[in-house]
Amino acid sequence: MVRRRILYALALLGAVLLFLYWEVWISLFLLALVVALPLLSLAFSIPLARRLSPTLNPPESTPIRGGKAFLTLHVPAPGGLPVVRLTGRLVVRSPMTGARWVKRIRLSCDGSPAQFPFPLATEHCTLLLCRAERLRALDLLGIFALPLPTPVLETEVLVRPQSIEAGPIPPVLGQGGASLGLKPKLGGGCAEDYDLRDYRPGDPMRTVHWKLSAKRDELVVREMLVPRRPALVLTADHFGLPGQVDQMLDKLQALSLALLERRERHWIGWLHPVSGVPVLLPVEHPEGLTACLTRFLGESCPPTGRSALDFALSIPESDGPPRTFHVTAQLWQKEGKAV
Amino acid sequence: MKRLTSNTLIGYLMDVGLMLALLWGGLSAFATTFDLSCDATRLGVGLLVLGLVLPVLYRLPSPWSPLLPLALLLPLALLAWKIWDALLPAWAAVQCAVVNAYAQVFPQIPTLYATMELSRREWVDALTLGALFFAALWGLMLGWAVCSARSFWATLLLTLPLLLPGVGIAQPPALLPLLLLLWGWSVLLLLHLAPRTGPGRARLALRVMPAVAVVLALCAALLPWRDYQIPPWAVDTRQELANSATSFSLRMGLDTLAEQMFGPSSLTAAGSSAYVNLNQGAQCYDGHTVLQVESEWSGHIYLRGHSAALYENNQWEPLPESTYEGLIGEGGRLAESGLSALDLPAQTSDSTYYAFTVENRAAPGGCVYFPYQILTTPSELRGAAFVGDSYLGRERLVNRHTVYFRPDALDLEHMEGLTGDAAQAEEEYASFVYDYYLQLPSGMGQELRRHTAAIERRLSYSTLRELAQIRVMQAQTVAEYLAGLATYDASAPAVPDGEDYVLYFLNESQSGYCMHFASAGTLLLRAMGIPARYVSGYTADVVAGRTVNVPDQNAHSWVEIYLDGYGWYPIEMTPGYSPQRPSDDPATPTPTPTPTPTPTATAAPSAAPSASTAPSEAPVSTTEPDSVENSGGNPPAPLLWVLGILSALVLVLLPSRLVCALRRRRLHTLPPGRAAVAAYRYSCRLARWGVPTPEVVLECARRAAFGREGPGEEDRAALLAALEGQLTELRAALPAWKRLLLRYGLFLW
Repeated sequence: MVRRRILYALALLGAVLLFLYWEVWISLFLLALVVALPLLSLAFSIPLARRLSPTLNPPESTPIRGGKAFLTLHVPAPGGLPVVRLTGRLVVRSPMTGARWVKRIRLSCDGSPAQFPFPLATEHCTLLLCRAERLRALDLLGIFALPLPTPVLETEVLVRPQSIEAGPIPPVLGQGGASLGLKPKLGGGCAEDYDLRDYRPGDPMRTVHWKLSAKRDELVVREMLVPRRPALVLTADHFGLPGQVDQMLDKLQALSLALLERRERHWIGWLHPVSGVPVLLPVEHPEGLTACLTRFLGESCPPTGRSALDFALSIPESDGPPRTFHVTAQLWQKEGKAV
Repeated sequence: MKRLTSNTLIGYLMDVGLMLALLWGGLSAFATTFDLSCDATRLGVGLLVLGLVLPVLYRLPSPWSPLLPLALLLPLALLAWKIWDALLPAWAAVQCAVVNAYAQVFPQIPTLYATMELSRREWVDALTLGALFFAALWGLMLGWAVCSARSFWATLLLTLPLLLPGVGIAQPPALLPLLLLLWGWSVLLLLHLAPRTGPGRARLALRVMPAVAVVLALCAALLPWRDYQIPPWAVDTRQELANSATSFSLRMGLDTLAEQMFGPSSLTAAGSSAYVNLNQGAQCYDGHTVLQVESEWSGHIYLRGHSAALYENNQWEPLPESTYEGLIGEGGRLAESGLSALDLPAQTSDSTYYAFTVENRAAPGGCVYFPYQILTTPSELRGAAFVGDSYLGRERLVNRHTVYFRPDALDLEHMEGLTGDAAQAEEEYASFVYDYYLQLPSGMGQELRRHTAAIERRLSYSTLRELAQIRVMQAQTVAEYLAGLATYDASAPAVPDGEDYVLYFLNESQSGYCMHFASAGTLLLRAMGIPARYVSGYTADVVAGRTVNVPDQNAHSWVEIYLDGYGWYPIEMTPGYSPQRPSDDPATPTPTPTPTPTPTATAAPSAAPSASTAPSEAPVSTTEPDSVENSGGNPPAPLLWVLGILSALVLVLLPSRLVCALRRRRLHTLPPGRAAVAAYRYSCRLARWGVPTPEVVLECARRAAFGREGPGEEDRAALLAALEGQLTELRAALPAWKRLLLRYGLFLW
């Protein structure tokens, strides 16, 4: 555009000098035309620019680390007219690694809606914050940059960990809660398991086991038991080298999905690597896992920081102390056992 | 599919419209410019066929288009060769029309006449055939530019040559062809950024084409093209621009520079110059201010520029520099006296002297225009220096000078004579004057004899005793003789080829302006044995205590004669001009000073630049020819050159040093964390040139950016050492020019 502006300035200067020094009517026509052409160009371009509202679309499917992913700039064609030049810049930022990519947008459309893909960097798991800014449409002569109604477009792209097959569930997380013991069911009612104990004042009369009480000549009551279910927590460190963090996230995702397959509601937690503030998010379904990963990958991940092992996470809903498992990149790597 | 067909049809029609407009517009513009007649019907039909066919040819699928249409150029060229006899009349008619149109503007171009004896009808037929053949050839190329490449620039390049011949002689074409050409150019310009293919281009063209046509129609309807006259404000603007440009060039010393680089002919403004080409005709003046003068003295005054000594080939030239050797030293000093030749007359009187300030706004010549008789000696001058005995050279970029002058020294009746060193210097200088300022071109003395005899008959020595007064009387008699012989004519034509400027004026035309009178007067005085020289400059009416603008039309030339024991004395040769004199009542300044000299407001042009630097005969035969070229300009002050070179060096070296110092300071004084980040960034810049970033720098930057504890002071030394190592490695790896580029261009170290 600078080149065209310089050219136009030279043309205008030449037309003015010609008008001043060449006393023939052609010079007047040339000067009038050189002045009128930009106005004519603006008259066509301004309405077009006002109706131009491009959109920035993330990939249709969530990209996986190491796979191919493209961000798409969709440019409509208002009135079927061509967009001679759309300029701007696309800034992609990864809060996880702090990396930042800037790509210049410089495209044109032939009068039909067009989509322009921009490849994304997916070598690491991260949340990519994408922003198309300084969007301008050039006029027909290419000397004026006209702002669009929405000069800034934003979107987010989550680069998920790779899907790997989950190994054995670590014993500390229990086998569906069966090995974690039973507890009396509050309020009574029906249950598969029960226990017998001496009557205590306040026990409902319907819980008295009359037959046994008659045999033993003292009141014996039947206490219903339900399985004890402490909260399951997967912890992770929010620091480390990018490769290690990627592998850890692969394991974390696989383990979480395995628990979800077993319909085990669980929590994922970590400490902020610098401030140490705990973050604990419930995972009840795959969308919850996505939200958790988005939160995890949307924060800076330095090479070193505070580990979740150094802090005891407490969960109010937990039956007793939560069962915590710290996921690392080395999970399922030693003789197929959980570490 | 229906939509696609519709767009294709629109695109085709668009191309047809553009082709027809450009073909017909271009050919008609050329024909109307040079008044060439063609059969409009046949030409129109032919162009219509071309306009319809060519877009089809360029719409053939690849590889037929554009190879096939362009390949057709070859058989067409062969056909032209075969039927050249039939095309020759058209070619001859075009040649004659163009050359004759130019001959009307430039008389030195001879008129052409076609030797073929054809009737008017046959000429028209031949021209129509030629135009159609040219249109076919030209249209094939134009079709590529319009329909295939869709390039505005290529189209402009192909069509503009048909307009340019007319532009050269300010001969415009007819309105309609020009409008069609402008329409085609404008449409292509507005579409040139749009994609070349696709439905949108056709839709856009459908909107752009009528809009441009409306704009051009409005121009034709509203602009006064029929009786066009440039508006007065444009004339004023033009004058202001000329003033500003000249003033700027003079303030920056570009005139002297141009004279040194391109020779004396590079100057065009009216004023004084070292070389005066008398063959050039009268110049036009626009009245812009060239000098601004202030003085405490009132009266009509000469402002002296250059003087010339040698007359040869209708040109006045200065003496070669080598002739001054041994007589005139640095700064124009005469031997040991400390005075210049131009200072001598003021020493003959002890009358009142006045300050005179002159500011050069747009006067050419690289000299200071100063009044007679200057009192300021070479050692007292600032921003100027005497050059030989000819002029006061102005230093570049110095435009305002103050000198002292003694106007009463022109009154010879109170002349007291020179004493001491001044008298001795004048005595030595006088012999030099007699050697060089009595020279006449060979044979000229005989030619002038008739005139000098007539002058001598008018002289009467009975009442005059003093030699100086006798000489002044003789010079005034020459002026009176010339006034009786010739008439003043500011628009006198140039001298015919082969004629001597002075002799033609004296014997044939007997009319001219100041350059004629001054040149003739100088030579007549020399023929009478009086040393004389040609001087150019300005005249002005100064008013004490006021600033007076001197316009360029005050440019003038006159004569200086040499008076023994006195020096150079100005003599007015042009009738109607008055010599230097004080105002009638010096105590009462004239209320409205008029800078315009008598007798007319359109004074004759003064010194014009010369294209020739041929030395004259006698004096130059003993000198180095090359030295003539150097005598005209004001040599640049060595100090200025040194300062310029130093400034350039500083401009090159300083930024690099400054950036490096700032970087060093950042790395040494910032907190270690920020210093590590700065070092990392610097290292990344270095890494782009092939040497990778050291691991230490990377590690420190990581710790600074992400680590719980950033790098410490102990890491700074390692960081700096690593950077130094990277720099050393980089310097060793790069060639010398890249090292220079990185150092002084990108400031990397």
